[in-house]
Amino acid sequence: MTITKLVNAALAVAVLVVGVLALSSQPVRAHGERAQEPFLRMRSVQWYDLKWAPETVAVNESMKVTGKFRLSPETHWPQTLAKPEVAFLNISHPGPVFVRKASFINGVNGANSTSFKLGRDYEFEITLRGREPGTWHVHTMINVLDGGAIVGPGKWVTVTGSRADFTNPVTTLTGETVDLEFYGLANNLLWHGIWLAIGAVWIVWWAMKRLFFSRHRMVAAGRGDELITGPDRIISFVMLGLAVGVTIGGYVWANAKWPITLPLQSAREAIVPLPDDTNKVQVVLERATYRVPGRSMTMNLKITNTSNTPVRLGEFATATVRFINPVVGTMDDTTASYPEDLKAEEGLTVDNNTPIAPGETRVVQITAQDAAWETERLSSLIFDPDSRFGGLLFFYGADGKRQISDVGGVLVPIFI
Amino acid sequence: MAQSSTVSGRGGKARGGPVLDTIELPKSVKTAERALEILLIPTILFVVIGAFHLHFMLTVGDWDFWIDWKDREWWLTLTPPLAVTFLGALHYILWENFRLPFGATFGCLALLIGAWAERYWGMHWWAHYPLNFVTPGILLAGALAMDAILLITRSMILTGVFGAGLFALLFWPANWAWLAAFHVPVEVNGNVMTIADLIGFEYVRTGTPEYIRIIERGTLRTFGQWSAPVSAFFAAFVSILIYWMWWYIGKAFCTIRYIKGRI
Repeated sequence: MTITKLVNAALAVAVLVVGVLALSSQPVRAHGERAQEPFLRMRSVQWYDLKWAPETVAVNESMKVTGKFRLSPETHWPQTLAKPEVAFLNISHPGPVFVRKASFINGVNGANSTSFKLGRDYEFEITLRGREPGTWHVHTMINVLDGGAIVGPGKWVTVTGSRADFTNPVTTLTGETVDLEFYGLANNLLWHGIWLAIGAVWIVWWAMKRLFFSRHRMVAAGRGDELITGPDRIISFVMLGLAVGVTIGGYVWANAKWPITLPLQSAREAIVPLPDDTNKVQVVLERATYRVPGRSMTMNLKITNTSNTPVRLGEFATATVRFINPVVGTMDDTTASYPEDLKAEEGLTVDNNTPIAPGETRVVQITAQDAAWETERLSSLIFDPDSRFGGLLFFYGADGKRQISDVGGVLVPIFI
Repeated sequence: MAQSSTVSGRGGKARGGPVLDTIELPKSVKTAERALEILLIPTILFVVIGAFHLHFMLTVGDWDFWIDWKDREWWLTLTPPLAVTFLGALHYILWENFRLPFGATFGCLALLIGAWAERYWGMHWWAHYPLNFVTPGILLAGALAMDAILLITRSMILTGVFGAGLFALLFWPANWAWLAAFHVPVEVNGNVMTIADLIGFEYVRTGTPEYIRIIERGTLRTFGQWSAPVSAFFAAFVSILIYWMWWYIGKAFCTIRYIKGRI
């Protein structure tokens, strides 16, 4: 077989393989966060009390994503992840299918970047307005400078209606109401058109002459300067004059039309975290194991209740997955609406569900078991370079109040 | 193309090899040459679009993509020097070989075609960003000035100093004609922003948190309250040097060298 035939055959096979793969592949629209290493997701930001409401909006209608997040304490924060000294609360969906109308963290405008304290809680509210019809996966997200994006849980939200109906009005400080969707576009295209036209005239002037062959012959013969004629010089002065004149004219005109302008704004926001309520139920991890065949994680915890009410363990949450103790955990509206694929409603088993009295220290064994360990790719933690986990434990008191404690440490895999 | 061992191209005599005289060629030859030129133009155009646009996206990148990155400091300082690269090379190639002075305008037109195609089809049609968010900046004003100065002075040195300098100095005022509208202030949820900032905040980019915007940073960059003139003059200075450097890169790319044959 000749080289040519071999190459052709190889190309044909490659095209066939690519075609089969393309036809058989599933559309990918969500859950890219599963590609992030488990130890990063489990030990950085813990999201809780999340709500997406409403879950169906029309174009131009608003919805809110609300909830809280806690940054892992210093003892659990991964050493490979930059600390959130400069961070930004973001929202993740496929492009601007929503527009973000507002973002608040602990009541402070979250449009600028800020700094988050490790081990502390923040409450957020993001208002979105439907723009592009479709069903979209909407995630919370925190971007950390030098660290990257830490993606939170996502839920499907549907936008109905027509994109053509979308408007985005805003009133400026100069008293004008404009639609951000199309604002300034006509003027932008006009000026691009003006310069394109002038540039086209310049190019066409030369294109109408002989371009390459005869001119190169003249240049090669040492007679290149004869190619530049008087009209060429005149047109060049005209172009220079137009370049400078139209620029100055446009600048003066713009200053007259928009006399009040500001430079782009950039700032850092200072946000005070929620009151520190973390030490009422103290947790010490004695040992944690992950049983690979059974997809279950077992923790031996020494729990000391320093609050003034008996508490019971209702939930273990890590990397957006919630393992709920059915005996204790509350199924309120927020929990009921939490994404099903991230919720193990009977995923948490506690060996002793009796309340832990105030002042009591008890060693309990808890097991978090669910297919989510694999579907969310958390089980691959055992193959991470840093096989430590992190998470939140939710204790519920007899007074109905909730205490949230951090837990984390080494996770030992059991393969047999 | 210029051959290193033959003509000088500036009035010197041929030193060897065939010299094509400027006798009147048959009409059929002239027609064929013209047809070939017309065929060559789109080819050259697409090559320049591909190379220049790729270079521009990788260097200027975000500063040219987004309306809320077009500040008075970084956008203004980086764009002219990084754009004048290919323009300097095109100047050499077209002027030294053909005495054609439109290299800068041609390059910027090619860049604009590529940029608009990418912004409209990529960012607007595919990714749903509004077109006013992603329009490219205008480089043609300075490019026209640079071309004109090349033809008037016929000097690489003077074109570098005045042409490349003007290329940078005209960049901000030429774009202000359309950019000013986006710097009108608004108040949103207690924050003062420009319309450009607001568009950047509202039309979500998950990979572009607010702190990623490299805009308006540092000190010692203003004169009084004026930042744009300081950046423009610095950009002009750097553009001059880069123009000269890329003039010679253009020369290297169109110089033919022969390897001694073994036969």
